[in-house]
Amino acid sequence: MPSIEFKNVSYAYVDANETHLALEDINLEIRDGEFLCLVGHSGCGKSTMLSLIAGLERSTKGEVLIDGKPIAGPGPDRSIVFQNYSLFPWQTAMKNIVFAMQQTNKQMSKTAVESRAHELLQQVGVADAADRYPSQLSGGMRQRVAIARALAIDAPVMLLDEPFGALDPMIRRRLQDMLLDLWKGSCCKTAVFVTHDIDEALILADRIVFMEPRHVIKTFDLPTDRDRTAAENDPVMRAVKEEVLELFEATETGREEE
Amino acid sequence: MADLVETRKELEKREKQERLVKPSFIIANVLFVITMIAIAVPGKVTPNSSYQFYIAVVLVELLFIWRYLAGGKKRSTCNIASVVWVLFIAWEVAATDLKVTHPVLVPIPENVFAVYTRIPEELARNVVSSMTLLCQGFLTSLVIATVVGLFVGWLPKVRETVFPIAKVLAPIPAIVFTPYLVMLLHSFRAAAVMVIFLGILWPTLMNTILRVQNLDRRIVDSARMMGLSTPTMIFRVLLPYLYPTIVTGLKVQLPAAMLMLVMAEMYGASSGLGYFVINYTNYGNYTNVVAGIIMVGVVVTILDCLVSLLIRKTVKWSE
Repeated sequence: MPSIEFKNVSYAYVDANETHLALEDINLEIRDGEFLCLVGHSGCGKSTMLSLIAGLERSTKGEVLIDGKPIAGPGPDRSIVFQNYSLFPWQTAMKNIVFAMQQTNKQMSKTAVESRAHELLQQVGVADAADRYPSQLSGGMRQRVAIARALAIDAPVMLLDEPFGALDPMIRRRLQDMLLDLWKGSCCKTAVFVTHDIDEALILADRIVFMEPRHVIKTFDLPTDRDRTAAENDPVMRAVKEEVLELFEATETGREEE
Repeated sequence: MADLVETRKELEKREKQERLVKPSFIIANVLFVITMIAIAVPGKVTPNSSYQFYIAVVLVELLFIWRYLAGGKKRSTCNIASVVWVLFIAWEVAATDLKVTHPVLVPIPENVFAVYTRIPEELARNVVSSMTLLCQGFLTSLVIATVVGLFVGWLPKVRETVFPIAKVLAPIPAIVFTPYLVMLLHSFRAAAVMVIFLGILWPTLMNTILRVQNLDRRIVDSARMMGLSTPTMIFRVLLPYLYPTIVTGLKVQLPAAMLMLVMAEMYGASSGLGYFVINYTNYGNYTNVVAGIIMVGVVVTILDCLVSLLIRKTVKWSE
């Protein structure tokens, strides 16, 4: 049973009196509990796919379903992590998480919320910075807090829009491992992760979906029991990587249009 | 190694600055003593009482010592104090001791400071009157500008209509409305409140609109994903986000409001600090005029300090 389903979805937006088509007749099923990476050049529509699942944008044609029901708008059954600047700058790291939990789960007692928030901060490794404001945190720490906040909302679907795009390679690697651990630990959340970094996708994904402008052109199923840290040496993974890199090159021209 | 050399250089530089502080502190205090002596020396003019001036000078000295001990930039503090003392000495020597200035137009400092004990009720009444008008105009304006700005900034279509209008109206000095508003509203007090209201409304409204417009979309989207209700969105997201803009705006807006108020009061009021000054100017009582001007300065400074304190205590985050 698919968790998220795109049915003939098109999305167009108007900019300076011109209509641009960002997605055209997309059909895609995202399985329950799957870690899916959307890969493609900048402007190929992968972030738009995420916005549609989030309910922040509405498809112009076709529909996006979650558990068989069309998405009506944004809601706490999905959580989202952006590339940057999505934490509330007027709240400390701790307060950001506490606030998200209080707003999405009103039954939880104050002490339960606080201890859970503390636990989450510990899991993402920023417990020491709980009382700092986002402006006082490094880019990596901010993204750790943002992930903790997304987990705090405890939604079955987690959406990540290039969350590590602005980070140094070293920190990026560490956060990828952390995210993977947390995802395995939380068990059976559906994750949709947007990136243009094929190595990142190979480490994280169960399935890679490659997009060229407006279309999904190919999906790759990856072995779920693979050693994700040794992707370089696995022949299957190498083959996938090579094919994706070829696709990147083949769709290069499409980039200029955007 | 390089780090160590750097650190040592830095320390030496700091030490040098520390030493430099001392002479300027001594100079400032020597000037304070000279001021006191200048007041004590019997001059060509004999004031009725000098103790008010002594008290004022001692208060300034205490303020200086406090800022010197508590604040940073010790050297600047000393320099500022020195300038104040030089001005006091020049005034005292020229007006009281040597009587080289115009005896009516330049009142002697002893008499000016004596005003504060001679007519304290009258001064207090005028300060209260001014502050009441200031608060009324200011608070209404701030609340309305924030609420309207919030909604206008939030809705792009409304914003595109309102913002250009605000942009045209904002540069009109609110003070030019005074005579017309007095006729229109029949009461001077209402007119003064209205002038402050208009003067503060447009800049605050424009600031708020721009600020809401610039709110990062991802912050809004994160909030939307939590499924926040409209009141929560306003009170827990938008207002906390706007708060620093509002209070730092006070830093500019409050002196501006004070300026408009004093000018409006000079136009046709029967109370207030502006009235106090213009009234005694008309009677040629320049001692009271100078005392009133100093009073305005003190009030504005206190308001500014309060705003700074509010900012320091309540604005903890930045972007």
